[in-house]
Amino acid sequence: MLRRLLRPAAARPLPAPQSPRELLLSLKHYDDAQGLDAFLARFDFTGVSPHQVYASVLGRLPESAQVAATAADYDPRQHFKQMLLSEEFQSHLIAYVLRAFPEKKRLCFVHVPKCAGSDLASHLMQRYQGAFIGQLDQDPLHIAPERLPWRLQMLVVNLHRYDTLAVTGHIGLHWLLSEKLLRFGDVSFTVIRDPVDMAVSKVNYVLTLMQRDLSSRTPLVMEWIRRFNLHRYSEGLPTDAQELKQIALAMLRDTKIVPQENICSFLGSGTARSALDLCASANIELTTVSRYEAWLKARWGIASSARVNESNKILSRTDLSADDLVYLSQLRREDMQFYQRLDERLTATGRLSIFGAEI
Amino acid sequence: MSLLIPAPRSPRELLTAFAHYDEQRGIEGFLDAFDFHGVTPHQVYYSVLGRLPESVQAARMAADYDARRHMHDAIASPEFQRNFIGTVLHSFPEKQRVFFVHVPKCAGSDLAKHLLERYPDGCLKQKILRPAYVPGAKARRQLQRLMAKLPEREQIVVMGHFALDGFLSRGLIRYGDVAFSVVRDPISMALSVVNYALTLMELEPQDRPLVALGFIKALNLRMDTHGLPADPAARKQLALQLLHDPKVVPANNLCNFLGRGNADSAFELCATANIELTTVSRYEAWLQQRWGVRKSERANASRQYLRHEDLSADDLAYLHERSQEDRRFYERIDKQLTSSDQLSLFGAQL
Repeated sequence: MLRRLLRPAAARPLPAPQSPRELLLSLKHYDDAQGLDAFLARFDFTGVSPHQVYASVLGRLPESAQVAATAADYDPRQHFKQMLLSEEFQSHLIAYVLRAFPEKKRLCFVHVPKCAGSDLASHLMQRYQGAFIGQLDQDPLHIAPERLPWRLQMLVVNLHRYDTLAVTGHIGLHWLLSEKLLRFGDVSFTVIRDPVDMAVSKVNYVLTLMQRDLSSRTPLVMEWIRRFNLHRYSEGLPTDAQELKQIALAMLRDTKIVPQENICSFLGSGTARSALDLCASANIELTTVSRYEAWLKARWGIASSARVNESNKILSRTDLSADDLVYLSQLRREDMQFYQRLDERLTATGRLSIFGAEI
Repeated sequence: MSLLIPAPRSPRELLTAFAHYDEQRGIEGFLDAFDFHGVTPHQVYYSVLGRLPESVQAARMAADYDARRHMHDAIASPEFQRNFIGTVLHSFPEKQRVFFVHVPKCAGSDLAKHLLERYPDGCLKQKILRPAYVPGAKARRQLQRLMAKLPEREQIVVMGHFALDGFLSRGLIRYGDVAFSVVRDPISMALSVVNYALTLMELEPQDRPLVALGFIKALNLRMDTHGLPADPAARKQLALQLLHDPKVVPANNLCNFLGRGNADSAFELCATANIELTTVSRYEAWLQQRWGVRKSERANASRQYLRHEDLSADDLAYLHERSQEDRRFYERIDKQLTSSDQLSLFGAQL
């Protein structure tokens, strides 16, 4: 008798979410063992229209008359599920989460590839465990759409403990600004590096991943093999150091692997001028890889850093010929200009970092 | 000793403070309340214009930077006024938004009058965005009234000659907001705009609203021209001249306001916004049913200088040619309303 009284009453249906915030907060009821269908079964979908599903799951209105109309056999629960598993939902996750919680201060790390960013991101993840969303969360190769409810649940159950939401990833500053995701009072920062060193690091990174045995290659590496046309090395790389260096030098001139402008593409729209303007606009904090460890200590109180994601040193700057250096300095002329201006300014002031409006 | 409050850090903080704006003391008096110590260009840009500075030059803090002066100039700027509506709506996301898309010459002035009565000092009119119609000082006064009443309101009403696409593309219409519009038979719309133009031109020059300038320009008249010709034939000639002027009677204006110039886009946008639509012929009954307004003495009604029977076969052919898309759109709504015997329908039902 007592047991029956203590048994929880059958959960009353929850009203279907009407906004992204309601949807995200409702994920606290998600049970990973039972999955998405069981989660959706908790909601009352009576009277739910396509407009409500679009607004709550995708954060927008339906784009056409065809998808806006409520068909006679319309099934809102099925529609909801379909939208939650959609490419659009995942690919817009950062903006979706940030907009759902406008009261949280935003801490945005613009991770320019091969600039100690994985290391910094790992520190941020530790510091903002429950309030962290990254560009990788938007990548189905990193997290399958079916796992997103669980991933978002991790975020929302902890979020109330933080007044800040941290964002990291290979996200362009231009995107953050044009989407109005960076506001006055939010914080943004980035680390950049000498463009030639960046190019060398990128080649070493790709080769390090390729050196891993086949079974430990992630879907992302397989995607790189396809995208960078590296099929000829898909069974493994040569072990001879000289041979490997030759492959590295060839990769250095492959613009799919070492694209033209990189710093200025992430911090601007491809030119040094645009990067200076956008950095000033965002007032982003900038440092360099050479100052990174000291900055990490001063800014974040992190004393030492065993670098995450460090690559094998297959190619070093000293391996580059004069021709290679000329090629890279031309390829990354704008990056060079931007980097030198920042480096000079930091050297002149003796500081570890500088803000965009000060450059 | 009066205590200063921290300078606003967001558009919401600035707008909330606007409730205390005193027209007599102007912007200077308004700014007297704030402590500008440590305020940066970024803070001024963001709190007044709702955006970050656009360049290094605008972002850099000069040695002689005067934040108070900067905020004064930003509040007085055309950009601040041009973005009034978006800024207010974005700053108060918790308020439901009520949008009235006023297609010209579709009983809109009358409906606007009722909305203004229902939501006194709670409406944002499109004209507030245009300093030529509403000078800065007047716009700030309107903003002060709106902000003073806003805490006790659950809705913000936006009305005027806006294109629906403008609201949608800026994400201003959200699920749960309300949008509605009144449409009309395109030939009647064309006649109505001509009669409206002539009604305005008959006013004494000093009494004419600014909109009359456009009509006067279309006829190459001078602004100080008095009245209309007394001769009925000359008046009719003037009316027909206006009817054939695309600046006065634009092609497919229903679809310009509710779509992107054609019927298909209007169907799409109306479905997206799920806007409520009625027609001028059903307007009075709808007004009573939807808004509880029993009798409407049409505001802004014009004199009937030109009537349907005055139009020649050529005039009608011209109008039909220029309103093909509008007719397709209007006829579908009219037919659907007739068959369902309803006074209005929603975009997603079209």
